[in-house]
Amino acid sequence: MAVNRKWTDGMLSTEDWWAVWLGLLMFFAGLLTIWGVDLVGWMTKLHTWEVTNLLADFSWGKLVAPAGEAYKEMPPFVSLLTTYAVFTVLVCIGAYFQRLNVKRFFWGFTAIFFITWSVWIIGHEAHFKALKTTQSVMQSKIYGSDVYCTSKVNTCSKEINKALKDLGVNTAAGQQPDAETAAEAVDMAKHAVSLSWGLQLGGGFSYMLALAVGLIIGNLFRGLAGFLREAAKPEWFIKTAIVYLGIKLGLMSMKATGFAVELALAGAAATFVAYLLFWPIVYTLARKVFKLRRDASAVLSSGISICGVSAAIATAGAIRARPVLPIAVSMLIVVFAMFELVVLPTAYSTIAPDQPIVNGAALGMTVKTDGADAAAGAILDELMVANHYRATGVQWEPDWILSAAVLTKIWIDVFIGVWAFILAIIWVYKVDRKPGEEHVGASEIWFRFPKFVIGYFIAWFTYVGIAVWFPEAIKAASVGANIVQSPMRGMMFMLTFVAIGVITDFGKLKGMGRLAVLYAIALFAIIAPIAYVVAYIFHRGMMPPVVAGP
Amino acid sequence: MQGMDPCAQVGGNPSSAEPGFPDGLFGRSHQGNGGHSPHVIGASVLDVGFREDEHIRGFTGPRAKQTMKADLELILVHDGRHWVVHNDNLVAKGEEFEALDADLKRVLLESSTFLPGERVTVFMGFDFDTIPTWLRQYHTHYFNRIVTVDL
Repeated sequence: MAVNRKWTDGMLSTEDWWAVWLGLLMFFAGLLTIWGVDLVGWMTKLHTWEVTNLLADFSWGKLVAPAGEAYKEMPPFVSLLTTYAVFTVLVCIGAYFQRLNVKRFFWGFTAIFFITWSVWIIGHEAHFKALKTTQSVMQSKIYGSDVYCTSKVNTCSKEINKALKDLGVNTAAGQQPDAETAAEAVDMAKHAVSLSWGLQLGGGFSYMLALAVGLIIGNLFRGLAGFLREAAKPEWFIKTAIVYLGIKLGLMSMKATGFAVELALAGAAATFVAYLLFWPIVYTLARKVFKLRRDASAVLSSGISICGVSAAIATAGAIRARPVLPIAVSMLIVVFAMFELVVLPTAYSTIAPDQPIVNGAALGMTVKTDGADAAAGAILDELMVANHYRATGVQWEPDWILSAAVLTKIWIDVFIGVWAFILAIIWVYKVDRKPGEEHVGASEIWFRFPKFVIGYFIAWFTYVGIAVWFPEAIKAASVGANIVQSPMRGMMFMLTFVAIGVITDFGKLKGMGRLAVLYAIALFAIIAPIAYVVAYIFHRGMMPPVVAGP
Repeated sequence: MQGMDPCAQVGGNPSSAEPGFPDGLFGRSHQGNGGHSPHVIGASVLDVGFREDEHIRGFTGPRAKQTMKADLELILVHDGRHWVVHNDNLVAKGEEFEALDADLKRVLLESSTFLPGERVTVFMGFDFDTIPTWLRQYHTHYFNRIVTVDL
């Protein structure tokens, strides 16, 4: 039995709070590197690998490695097992307090973990992931167009230029090698590799593959999906990842504080404007055109126009609707979120390749559910960074587009409680006024406040605080922070992709009738276009910092 | 639509007196007809949290200070057709809240714990466990009601 009475209720029993605990646990563990203690370096990171090279001489070290310098002697496979053990213990403790079936959760999580890592490793194969080197993009006549980089492209550029210098060609002084010398330099560069073909999808391929695998399991292998379902918690995984993303934003803020603040404020303003437009339009459409009841219209309007499942439940609770209503709407939202996740990143990156931040913010206002939004933001980020690099040779710093998508969504989440409270007041005191003297508690706002946001802001502002007040500690703090915000966050994103696919059953759309039609019309004809216009108004001209270029 | 009954998600036993509800939810004295035990209703005054703040904010009018604590705390669920409030010893139900409150008044009047003419403040906390498991990860609160019943 779970009834929210006190403000502390749910702190141990809800996934929202457990995202905060898991997020902050690793956040604080990562911070200890300031004092020279590395408690997170066992975390596994992935290498980009090439299939013929691996088959010629297999070793786990070509695929994975411990992320921390202090753990470099740890065998790679032991690092992977340690990662599994640590996270399995933590999530099982969380599952126990959330009163899930721990035994089923354990086996389900174990399966999801190894499916996720298998997919993630495959996604790091060079033909799928690797980007071309800057030299191959900008000077293909000299270097050839088939030189790819198995690390960051600026790392490869430096390696090739250093090799050229060793060969007597100083590119910094404007000298250019001949093709033969260039080929020799490429051979000498540790992370440059020649490939006959390459998709250049960056990390986006892993995400899309994980989603595809999850969807195949969820829709074609229902027995397996049922077995995994106890542990398929995309919202828990993504909220934990978003707390880790707070660390990333903190680190990025150290370098670009003004831009981060501008992004946050623009996101808040855009969200507020979007709220004022979305809800009344969809509500009017539902009432006037689709002739839905007042309660159904309100729940659906919130679900479509605000923040998906959370808003649907919050609104239904605020207007005291029968629980069956938000449950039905939530089924729609979860299934449609999958369409949004698949369609929108590709559409935005194709239609507006020169508007990265606008695209990210528009995504945050359009894609419902935190999991789908962050997942779509991650795909959009990877696609746009890779596409822009391919087209121009200029590489944007990763994760700013994702941050734009997540920040916008977080403002929406934060505002849910306030919006639900306003609706509750209207419903109880005006629409549904009864003589029974029913009261609306301000506590309803707190109960509906997304708690993982607390962890996100703590992580973000802590690193901003370190940059401002303890700048000498930045380097040491970054050691732990980079492990938590990169491989750990990446793993939670990947777990989300697999889990969100597993729980998405397209069969649920059957029998939804008018609701599904209204949802589709509202989403693609109203929400998406308005969101894009609002995002453009508030974010136009904002561009991610450049990390590599000619 | 299969799986739409939220109460069925909490391990409801088809053989129990109230289909879709967990075993023992209503206790032996309630055969799904609003029965009650005359000895335990309102046995304790429970702190329902936040209400002091709510009253200070003026949501309950001038009697705020007199109703700082609920006289009776009940669990609220929806069984697919009725709103149902219960504790270990009483149950009341109604298709709409108005009917639920009327039934609760009847149940309370039939008990000997509260006297006719007495004003009873009732906290109804929605049991979020009756929301399907897959849905709970997206949100963790539905709503609570605070209702004043004049017996």
